[in-house]
Amino acid sequence: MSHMVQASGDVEQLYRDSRERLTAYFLRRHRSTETAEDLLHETFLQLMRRVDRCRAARSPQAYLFGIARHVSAEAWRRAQPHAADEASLLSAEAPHPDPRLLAAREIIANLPSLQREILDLRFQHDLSYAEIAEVLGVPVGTVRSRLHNAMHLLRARLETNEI
Amino acid sequence: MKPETLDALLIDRELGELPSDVIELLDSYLQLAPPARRQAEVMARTVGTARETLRRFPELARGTEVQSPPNVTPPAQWLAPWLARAAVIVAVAAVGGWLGYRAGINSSSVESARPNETSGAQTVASRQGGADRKDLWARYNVAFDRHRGTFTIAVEP
Repeated sequence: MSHMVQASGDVEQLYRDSRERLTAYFLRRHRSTETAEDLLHETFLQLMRRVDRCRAARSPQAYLFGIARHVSAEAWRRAQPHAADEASLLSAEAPHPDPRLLAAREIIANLPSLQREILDLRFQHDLSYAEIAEVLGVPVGTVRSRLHNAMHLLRARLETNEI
Repeated sequence: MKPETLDALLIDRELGELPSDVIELLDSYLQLAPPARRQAEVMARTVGTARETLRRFPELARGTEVQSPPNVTPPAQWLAPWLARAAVIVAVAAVGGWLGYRAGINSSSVESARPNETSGAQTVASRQGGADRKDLWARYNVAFDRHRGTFTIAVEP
């Protein structure tokens, strides 16, 4: 019984600590507050089924992001046609006149999806190399090399063309 | 310091992955080496651009295929079927013309050599009386030779 109470307290604490970051994560991917909240709760529901594994993880935050990533991917699979339409509309609606950002966008868009995900987790969700590695289930060296590779590519293209 | 070593340190520093004591050493080095300092400025600008780009374009984070930017012209896929059809028509016309020309030479020589022999050729596709001239078979005759077991394509005059 005391074990269950402690587990419940851990999850509550983790919820308070991570709620904002995870909501931001889902919002970036799904662009709907309602969906983001649903997915946040789905994430914690899944977490509660494996609290022990979360406790054993080196970074509970990273473990949580790992679950969130799967929950997000599953939601995308379920709602792909509608979501894809929404995404293209959003891209078309907002003009971005800065040529440097447009060039960077094209370079990043052409990167493999894993590399883009690494960039997003680092720059938008402030996860460390080690946390990203845990979320994605890849070695830390891979995270570092993909980030470095992306920065080299961006620098080479942007600075060579003096954008 | 090798440029690639400096690059790696600069990226790790910009991404907050460098211990503070290493940052201090790196800063000391940069103060002594103006080219390295310029390199650091460029890297800082690149990392800043990457950060801002990801913030401005959240669709880059999604697991789906990213849309092309508006200024990139998509490939003209609608042309493909028409080009394929045009290529087939041109190929059939070329082969048909050549075969018709060859058939004309052969039949005239055979007819002159053996005028009484009945030809085994049977027309299997040709222009019908009121057929549209635009139709593919309005311009070609296809004949099957029972003796030889071959098809011959002839161009209508």
